[in-house]
Amino acid sequence: MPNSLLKANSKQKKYSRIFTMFCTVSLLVSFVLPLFAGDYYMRIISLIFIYMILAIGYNISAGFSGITSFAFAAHYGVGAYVSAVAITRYNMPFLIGLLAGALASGLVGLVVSLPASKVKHHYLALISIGLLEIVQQILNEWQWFTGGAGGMYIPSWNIFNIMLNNFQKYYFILIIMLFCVALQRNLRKSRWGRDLIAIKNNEIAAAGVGINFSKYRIAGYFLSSMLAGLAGSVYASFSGYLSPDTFNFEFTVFILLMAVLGGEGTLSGPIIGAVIATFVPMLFNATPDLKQIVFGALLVVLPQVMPAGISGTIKKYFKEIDHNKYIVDQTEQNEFDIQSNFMKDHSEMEDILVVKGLTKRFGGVTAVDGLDMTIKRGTVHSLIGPNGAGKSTTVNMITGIDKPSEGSIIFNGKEITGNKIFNLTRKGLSRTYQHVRLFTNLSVVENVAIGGRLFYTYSIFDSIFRTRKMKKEERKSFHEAMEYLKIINLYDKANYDPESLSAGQQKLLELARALYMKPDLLVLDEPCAGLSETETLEFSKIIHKIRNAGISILLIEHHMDLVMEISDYITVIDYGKKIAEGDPASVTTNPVVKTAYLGEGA
Amino acid sequence: MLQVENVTIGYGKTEVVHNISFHVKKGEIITILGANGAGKSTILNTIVGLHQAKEGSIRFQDKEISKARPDQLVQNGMRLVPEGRQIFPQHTVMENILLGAYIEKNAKKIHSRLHSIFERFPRLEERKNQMGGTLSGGEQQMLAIARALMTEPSLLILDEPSLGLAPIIVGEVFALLKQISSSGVTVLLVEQMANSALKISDRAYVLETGRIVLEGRGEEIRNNADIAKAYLGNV
Amino acid sequence: MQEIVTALANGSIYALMALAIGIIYSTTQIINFAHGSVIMIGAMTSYWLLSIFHMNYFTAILLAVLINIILSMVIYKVSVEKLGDLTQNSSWIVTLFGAGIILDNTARILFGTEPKAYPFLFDGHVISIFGTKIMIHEMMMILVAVIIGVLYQIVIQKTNFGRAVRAVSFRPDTARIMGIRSNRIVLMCFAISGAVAAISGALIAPITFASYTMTYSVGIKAFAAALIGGLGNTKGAFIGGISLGLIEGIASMIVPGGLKDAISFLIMIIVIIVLPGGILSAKLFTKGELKTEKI
Repeated sequence: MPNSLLKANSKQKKYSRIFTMFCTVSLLVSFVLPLFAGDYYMRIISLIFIYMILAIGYNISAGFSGITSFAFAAHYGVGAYVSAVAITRYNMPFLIGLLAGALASGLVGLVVSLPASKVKHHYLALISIGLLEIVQQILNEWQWFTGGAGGMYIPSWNIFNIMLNNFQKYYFILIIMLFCVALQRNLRKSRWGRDLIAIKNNEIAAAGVGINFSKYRIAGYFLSSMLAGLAGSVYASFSGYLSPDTFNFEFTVFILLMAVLGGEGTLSGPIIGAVIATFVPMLFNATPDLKQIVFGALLVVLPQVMPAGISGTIKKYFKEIDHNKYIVDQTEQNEFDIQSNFMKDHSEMEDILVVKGLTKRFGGVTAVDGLDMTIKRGTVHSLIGPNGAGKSTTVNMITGIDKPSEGSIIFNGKEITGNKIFNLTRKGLSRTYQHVRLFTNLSVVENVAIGGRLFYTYSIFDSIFRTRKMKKEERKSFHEAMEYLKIINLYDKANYDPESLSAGQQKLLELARALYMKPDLLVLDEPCAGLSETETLEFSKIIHKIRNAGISILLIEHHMDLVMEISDYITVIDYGKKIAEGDPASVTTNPVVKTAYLGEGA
Repeated sequence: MLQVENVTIGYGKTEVVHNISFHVKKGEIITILGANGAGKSTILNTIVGLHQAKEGSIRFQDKEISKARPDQLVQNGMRLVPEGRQIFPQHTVMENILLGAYIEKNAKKIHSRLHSIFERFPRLEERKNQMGGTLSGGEQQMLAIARALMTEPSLLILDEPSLGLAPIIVGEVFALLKQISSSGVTVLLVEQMANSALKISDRAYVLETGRIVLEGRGEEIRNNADIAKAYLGNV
Repeated sequence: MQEIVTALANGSIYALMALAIGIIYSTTQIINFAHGSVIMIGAMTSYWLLSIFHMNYFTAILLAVLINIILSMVIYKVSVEKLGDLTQNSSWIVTLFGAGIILDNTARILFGTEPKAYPFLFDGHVISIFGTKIMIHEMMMILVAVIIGVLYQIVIQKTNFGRAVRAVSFRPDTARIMGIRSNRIVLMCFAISGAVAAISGALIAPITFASYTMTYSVGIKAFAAALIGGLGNTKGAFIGGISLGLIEGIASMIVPGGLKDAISFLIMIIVIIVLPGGILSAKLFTKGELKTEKI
């Protein structure tokens, strides 16, 4: 194992030392606190724990799934009231009430997030304001159910006929909170978390690795509203009294403040945010009017001056990188080659991709006009032509990003015209992009590993409880990802932030991701654009390796040396029409091609 | 008229253009040649102020402009015809041309320029009430150039005017540029259609992966075998 | 009949509010989450000028419009301008919401929590047309909304400024090449939006009472109308506003008063699920197919 994969920097080492120490100390303090703290402080700390659960819920929505919502006060309220009603009106046991609250809140979240699959995600922020208002009105008006503006009382906690005293309550909340902290961490460090972050980072690239992003977004919001509901349920029984006023706009501001202070999208953000946001208001006990104004000002200023929040800023200072333990305990393995990893039984069909009469019109302009093209299995087929000839549009239609105006695309004998990109990856098609699309919030190795997401079988419960199945699959997946990094010589940068790589390395990383999807056909859209000579050379070596492994390649490229040397077959297009086709030698000598590139009089 | 000295440009951490220098004299037609991804558009966008250079200086009419805003540069007589034409498809042709004269507040001047523009481009006058998006590629290019001429620029910069156009139309565009140049406008051109562009150019620079690798008179470069090689490999 | 006129009158004010949201949306693709507060400030300042300084209606609203213009420009400068690319970064949702919170609470401190009775135009005079009694104020609501709608449409379609607004909303960088200062245009849009918000706030306040809670009670309807009609286009704003007015009118006949807003929101959510782009998808400003995306 190269040492560079471990914490290399002295600052990073310092960080992990301080971090471990801090966690141990705060855990110890939390456990022994009730022994010497008075009732008043125990109540406040319990409340902070509840807020932490709520903040974790919000973080999964805003930080990981990229959905900003103002309705978390409402989700919290729904959870609180449903559990309260279940316990008081229907005499359900406390734990059942707790679950009922969480579920009810999750369901509400599910309903409001349905449109999010169809429209831009900030629409959800708008709908969420409406939801907050609806819940307010229902809580105030539906007297029979909620007791209206007068509020309702909930009997003290009772688990299996044991009444809990304050101590027991405290520990109960602490345990639920720790469970939620673990849940958030385990999710983040599993394929589900990576998929969510990928969507937030780059929707198109996420679809490119096979993620159906609207489904994931809804699932992410469902989970986060459920956690908010759980927090609400716990709060209901903890406080013993509910009033609609608790769940108003001011509380929404408080939730946002927790997230903005702590740092959205980090694991420790919600915890830090909850602690600070609970103590800040105490400074304003004398002037409550000013409090909300200061809160508002913080919401305006913090995202601009400290976008990563406290937790993110600290991490940045220490140059902290999340190290992945699966790649650290890697033992030396046999020589890895791409070929042995492509065990798919190749169908007999000789033509892997057949394009017929493909046409795309943008407004008045016809970008691609009746293009016919056939790619034979196991070959490198290049598509070339001057700038603006319609190459990228063609590739975007083949890979399901643009919808063809006319024509058909047949892949592996199956019609795929108009299929969405995330369905195509399953069928054995993967691609890279002209302008690199990496997931900047994932590490280098995670960027590769997400390419292998199609091969995971473990469920969301496996990831929450970190079962052996999950660990085994993750280890295998990351080991393989590391092998791909070896191929592209980024083995020792596995834990880096992809933005710290050079342009060439980023392109290679994207290639590794596409390779790990084990495609039958790999589409490379200008892989060498913007690369230096040496980087191009490097790239061409790797393309050779891939071809030798028997993967068919559709290549768009401007470096003609590379194209001529590597291609089995070349199609030349200009103004969206095919102008020449054949092996490299015949294409280079074709006068039509020369004119298309160099203009008249060549 | 325009001096670019030791300019380095990048997006985020990646450098796209490395320490390039070139100059444009008054009345010249200058071409910058280069394949896709060589950094041509980045250079032009930096000159007109859409993007900031990391290092180096850009001087226009003896004034430092590397920090200037696009509107200030338009005011001083610099105009860009962007890559892919970028006309406004949901504005009419007339509105597109008027938008070109946005900074000109003098109605009389606008009117007389409009008149000379329509004289030069009768096709645009015929179609002045059509939506820009309904024009053909060649007409859109004419519109993009017409729009830029509305402020009577002293330096006209064009980013791949031949992009996606049929050869006959490309010929028309270059003939037009020659004509514009002879009316006293300095022209800076970025192209990949080397032959057509070099024919009308006084001087040219060849750009490869963000570096200038060759410079010289248009004819010289045109006869230099390296150009063909850069595009088509060893023919 | 009388109910229909009331519903139409409310609806046209909702339309104005939706229009103001759309003005900002069209150039920036962002939704001004502080818009409810801006409407409320418009209503409260004009009330204040009317009742404390005993100004006449016209001067009071004019001053309120001026205050709102300045306020909206400050909101843009403070919470939006420095954020960079707004399509890449959604911090604006939180910063604008925060700006709204500041305004709400400042208003609560300045004006108190008590809802104020806002005087009707023409002292609430009622005229009778074909046997139905209609308040002149309600007719003025409709009239003013239509005038502003038509004016806005003319400005957008026929003037140099309007052309620039449409250019910026199509592609800000191309607009900048024309010498248009895109940021300046966006700032102007915030200003116009604020002015329209002040007028709509002042006109609806006699019906809802003037109070700092108008942010929620009225502001949310503005968002609902904008979403129902489709963001960023005048026709859509009017269709959305008037449908919302009618839906609300019908809902208030069937369900108890407190829940009628909840019903309106449910309908809004359903509309968005069924028709994601609103009843009238924003055709005027859509970036459409003509923008070939660079991938």
